[in-house]
Amino acid sequence: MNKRGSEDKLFFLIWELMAFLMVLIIILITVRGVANNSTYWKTYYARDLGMMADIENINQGDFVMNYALKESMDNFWTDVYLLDKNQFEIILDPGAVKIYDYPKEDSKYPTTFPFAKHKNIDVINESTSSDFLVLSKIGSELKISDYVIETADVCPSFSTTKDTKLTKFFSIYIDNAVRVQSESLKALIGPSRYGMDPNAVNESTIIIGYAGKENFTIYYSDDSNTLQSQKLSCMIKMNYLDAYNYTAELKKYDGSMASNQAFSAYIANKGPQEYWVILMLSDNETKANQNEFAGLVEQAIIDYYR
Amino acid sequence: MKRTHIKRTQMKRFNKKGQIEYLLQNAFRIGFTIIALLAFFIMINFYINNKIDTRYVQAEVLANRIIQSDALMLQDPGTFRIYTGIVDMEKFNDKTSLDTSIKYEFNRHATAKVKISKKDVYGNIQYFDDIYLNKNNWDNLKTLINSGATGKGSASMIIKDFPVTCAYDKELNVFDYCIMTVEVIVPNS
Repeated sequence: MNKRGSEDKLFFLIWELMAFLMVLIIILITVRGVANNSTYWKTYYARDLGMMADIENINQGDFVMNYALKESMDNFWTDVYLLDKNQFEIILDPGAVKIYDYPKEDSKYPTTFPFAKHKNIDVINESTSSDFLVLSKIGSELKISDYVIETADVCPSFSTTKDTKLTKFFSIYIDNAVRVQSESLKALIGPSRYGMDPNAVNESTIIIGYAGKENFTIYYSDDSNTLQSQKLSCMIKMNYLDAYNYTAELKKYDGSMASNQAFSAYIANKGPQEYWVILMLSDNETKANQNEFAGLVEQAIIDYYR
Repeated sequence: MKRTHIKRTQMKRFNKKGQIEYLLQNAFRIGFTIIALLAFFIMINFYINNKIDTRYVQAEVLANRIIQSDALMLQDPGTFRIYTGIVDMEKFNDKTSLDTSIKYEFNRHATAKVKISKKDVYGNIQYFDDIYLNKNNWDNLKTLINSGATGKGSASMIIKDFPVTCAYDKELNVFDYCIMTVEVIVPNS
């Protein structure tokens, strides 16, 4: 092939390569656009919440519903296509549920679904942009709000059902004063009773600390497994309240244990799917029967996976 | 010799015959790319579900709202307790009960007709009376359903029968057993 022939061939190859790249870019943009489109989820949530609100307006007794926006989970496709996480602003108007893209100012029109307001019910005009919200009708007030675990009367109700043969639990102590409690719990939730299956994976760790004269406090994690940690913490709190008529404090982990070696080592080595809670026992709890205490925590775990 | 060959090739490419040949060579490539792209877009739209069909759930919600709320059911004036399954015939005979109790922001959202029938001693069902939610809309949508129209402009209907007690006073001294038929129409969307 002479010089002119080579040039022609090269020009043709470059043109083909450009055409191929253009087609590829068009395909990727289309797929990303379809996957990023929030219309489906706005319609889904507007209808689901609207019909729930309709049912709550039957006005027979009180009704509290914890609602998790299921689309908010990251998955393989969201990572591959670098998709933005859809976030919505949900407004409960008297007569309709309105869903905007978050922030509200960026979306022109809401997706709306109407419900029939009962004449004796007052709709509290509130909005939320949380992934986990509460739709409630208490007394004559119907409202939508963020789920605030610290003050919630009911624990999150999203499904965590799983076979406990496939889940391994651990307990570690971060203070010698609570070693007995941790050992007791370890005996109850250890491998002789849970996670017997060869395919079992590390699921959760109950970290026990000592709070001395301060109140019994349960910390939930501040990582990607917060929702699971919140649910178990809440269930332990409720079991403790039922058994001893004492309300433990529930708090988000504030980083105060970072200097503790046992805790830091655990955090550094734990798997990404593993969630944890910290129980800071006060003098009252350390004086109580450790087996009873361990039984309460185990019951919370059983309820969590039921 | 070489020069002659290049000249011939160039001539072949740029004369009329050459141009047609060149176009035909690439036509297959271009056509195939267009067909592949079209197939891709059609498949994406076919497999991605962006429609939510909630017509029958909406109809169920409204039917349950009628049967469980105080719109037609007997309510204890002292405790405000609603007796699901006991129809307050005073409310039923006031033909505005449903419209005043269940009001949607958009009239077209849903419409309903509630019929009361009774069984005579021979077991024959005798129609007694009916009441509407959003009567104008009912007339429009029912006409569409009767005409056999389908698709977005039309509507869907569910019919549910409930055995109920018809109460003629608040104290439940005078009552008889009836069948309440709830027919709900929801526009197709």
